[in-house]
Amino acid sequence: MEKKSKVNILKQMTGYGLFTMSLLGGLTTNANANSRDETLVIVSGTSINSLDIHRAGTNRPSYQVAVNMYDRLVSFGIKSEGEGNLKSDSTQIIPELATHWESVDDGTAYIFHLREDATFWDGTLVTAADVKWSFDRAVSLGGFPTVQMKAGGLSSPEQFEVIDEHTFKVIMGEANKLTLPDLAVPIPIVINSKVALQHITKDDPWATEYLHKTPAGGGAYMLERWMPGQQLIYKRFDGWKNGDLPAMSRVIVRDVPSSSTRRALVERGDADVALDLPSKDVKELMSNPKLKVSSSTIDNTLHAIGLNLNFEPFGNPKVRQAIAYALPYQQIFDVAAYGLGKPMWGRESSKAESAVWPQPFPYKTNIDKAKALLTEAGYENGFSVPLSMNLDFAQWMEPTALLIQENLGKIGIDAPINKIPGASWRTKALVEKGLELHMKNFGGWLNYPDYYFFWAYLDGHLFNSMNFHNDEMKSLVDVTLKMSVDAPEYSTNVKRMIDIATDEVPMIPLWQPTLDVVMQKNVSGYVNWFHRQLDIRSFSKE
Amino acid sequence: MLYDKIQLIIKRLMLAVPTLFGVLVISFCLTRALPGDPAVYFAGAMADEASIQQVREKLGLDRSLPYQFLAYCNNLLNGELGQSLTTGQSVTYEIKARLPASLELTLLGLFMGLLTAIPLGILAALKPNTWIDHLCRVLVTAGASTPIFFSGLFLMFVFYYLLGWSPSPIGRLDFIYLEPPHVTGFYTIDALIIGDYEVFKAAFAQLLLPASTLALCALAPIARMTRSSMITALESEYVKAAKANGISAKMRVYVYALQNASLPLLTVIGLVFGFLLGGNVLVEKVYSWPGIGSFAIDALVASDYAAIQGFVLIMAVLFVTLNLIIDILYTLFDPRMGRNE
Repeated sequence: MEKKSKVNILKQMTGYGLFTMSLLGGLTTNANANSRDETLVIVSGTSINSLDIHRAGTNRPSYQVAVNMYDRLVSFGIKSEGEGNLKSDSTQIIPELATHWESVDDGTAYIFHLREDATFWDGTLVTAADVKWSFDRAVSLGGFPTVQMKAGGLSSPEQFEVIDEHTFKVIMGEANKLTLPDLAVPIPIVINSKVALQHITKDDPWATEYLHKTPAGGGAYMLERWMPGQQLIYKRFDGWKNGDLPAMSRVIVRDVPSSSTRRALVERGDADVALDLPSKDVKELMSNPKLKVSSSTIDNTLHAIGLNLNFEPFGNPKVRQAIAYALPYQQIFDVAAYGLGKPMWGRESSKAESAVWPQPFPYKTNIDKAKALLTEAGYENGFSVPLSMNLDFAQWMEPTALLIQENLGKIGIDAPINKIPGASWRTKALVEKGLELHMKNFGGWLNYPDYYFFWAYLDGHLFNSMNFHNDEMKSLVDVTLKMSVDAPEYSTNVKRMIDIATDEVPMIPLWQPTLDVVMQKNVSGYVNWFHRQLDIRSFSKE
Repeated sequence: MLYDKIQLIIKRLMLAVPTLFGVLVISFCLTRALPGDPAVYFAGAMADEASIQQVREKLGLDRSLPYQFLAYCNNLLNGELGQSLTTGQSVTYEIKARLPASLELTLLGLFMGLLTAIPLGILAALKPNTWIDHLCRVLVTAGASTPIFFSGLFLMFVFYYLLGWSPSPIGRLDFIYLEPPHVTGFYTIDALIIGDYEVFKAAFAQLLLPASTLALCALAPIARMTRSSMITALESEYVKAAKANGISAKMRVYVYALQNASLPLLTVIGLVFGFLLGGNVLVEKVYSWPGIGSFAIDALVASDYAAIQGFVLIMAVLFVTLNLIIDILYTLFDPRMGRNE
């Protein structure tokens, strides 16, 4: 019976095939190969929902518009990660709109000298007044831009001063190592204030409605057209002065929601670059001789397990350590990450020997030790705790959850899996902080360990979904956050933070994830940026 | 008689008003009952308590529910469906852009389905228990039991990936073409209007694979219904009487039997059309089709109130219209309808 129906499915398919084929015969048009040389075609799984990064509700894929269509004062350098992989280098700050800058007033302020011949797309000069208007906008609009500016110690328009047409001053009030790198993230972009000011209204003093759909900048690429939910087309701004003129004259970012379709497109050669492919596909495409895969770790980012200290058994550090010994790290890494990434377990030394972050924790799978620790803590009969996962990240969280559930069962802990839709995740995990045992991923844009600890290990901070509280950690982060990395205590302080995080273990790191991009062999210039978006300015095609 | 029919249509139209209002209330309440707080979602990754509150006030979510409902109704009366947060566009814009995309695909899919299913059903009814009847049965079973994402991926795999006959599945039009100026929103028709056959061909080629997938799915219920109602009609008294009166076989089958068999068929076609339009999310995702189904799903995942409500409302209007059209067609096909009233 089964065999019969299979044969007939085939018949049915062939029937349709013939029908489709006869219609297609006269229809398939050959794409013009010549026009493709200067055009880069990118297929992406997520779609851009605004051209203004400062607007409330702008999603992560939209940050690429800020990167490619606008300039910042400064940018990060680029370093080689081996095997032809390039990565942004947060230790090296390089000029973008500002040609040079100096630290003044005992390191409590910076003076930036803007490139004098830099213009916006409409040909008007970029002036310090534009920079001030844009920065004022970022700190005044509220939401994400304001929070990100504050992370660099910038929270009020009074901190930005126009010295003359091409000189701009940023006043921090006290020395802060985070300010300069924070000016290189996608948020502090320079907007053409003359254009924006023509479109302000009483209810909308920062022209959010206008800039949402009509970018007004001076970046290397301008908008050719944007069809929300379908595609964004960039065209090169040939008068760009703030860096080497990009090689691609036109870049098309097409929304292709299905990852199978994206894979088919890049394998067939119809797309030059495919983004957001599942680890499984990335792993398989690595051995495809026609394609090039860039896979390198994302700075300052961890996939981890959070243990909520408000949940009774997890209040006891011994229970938390027991869980850390019970996790099947290697299996999770093989099954959920397909071996892509950096393992974050099994360090030999019990104390941190360097201030590198992320670094592996000394835990490794040891069920006997986990059982012993649970018994010591008085939970030899185990307990029950829901294991929560975010459905938006089901790709890695689902297999991870199953493996963890299995191993926790071995030490008598019953962990039913609680699947939470992405929309409610933020509220439940980060705002209410009410998830007992949960999987989490957090990455800090500014690549400093103290910055990570600030967000993820301090009481009340957004990414401390574990409700972890430790006085020593707090005072350490407070003194270290603004300290220069060259200060003698810096490395000691960071090592101590890592040791507290290790011993108290409110969060168990699993692995440091990678950013994977699949492209054609003739495409080069891809850089793994901390913001995880494509900087198309560096791309070229042979 | 004409007067009767018009009265019937007006009555049906009046009945649609309470239905639509009910849909309005229910969709409003249901979206509010969804888990998740849109303010938190849209305040973004690094937002703190203060900025979430800011977003909440901006969205008007700090107001009471009755106030929000009245504000929503007021906006609706002004033709404003609100702002979708996920896509950053007004819901009106989204529906205007996406509904034609879905309709174009669904109509072609349904058309292809009808073109295959009705002749097949008729043949199967004329020659029951022969090879053509078995073929029909097998097709119906296979069509009904093959999940749509599978047939979608399968067709793409064969005709695009392996054979390369089909253009790349990246939506309504390859990026080397510009879409025709918006008249109907159907790219094929709009291209014909300006006489651009190149674009017409390209848009039509993009449509073929996803429409075939939908046709496979639509095939089953339509073929089955055609077969069974044709069998009933062919065995009925009036067909037998016609045969006794020496009316030709062609006439008997295509006029006497088919016209009567088309009534239940119409109902099924209406149902299938509605199902295809709202439920072809998977085809839209696989073929990157910027349709209304994937818009609704993305909005649901993000608790995007305005977008969900707009979608539900438009679908309700569409269904009411569809039922109305089918009712009118009924009166045309069934001579009893007008007279009995």
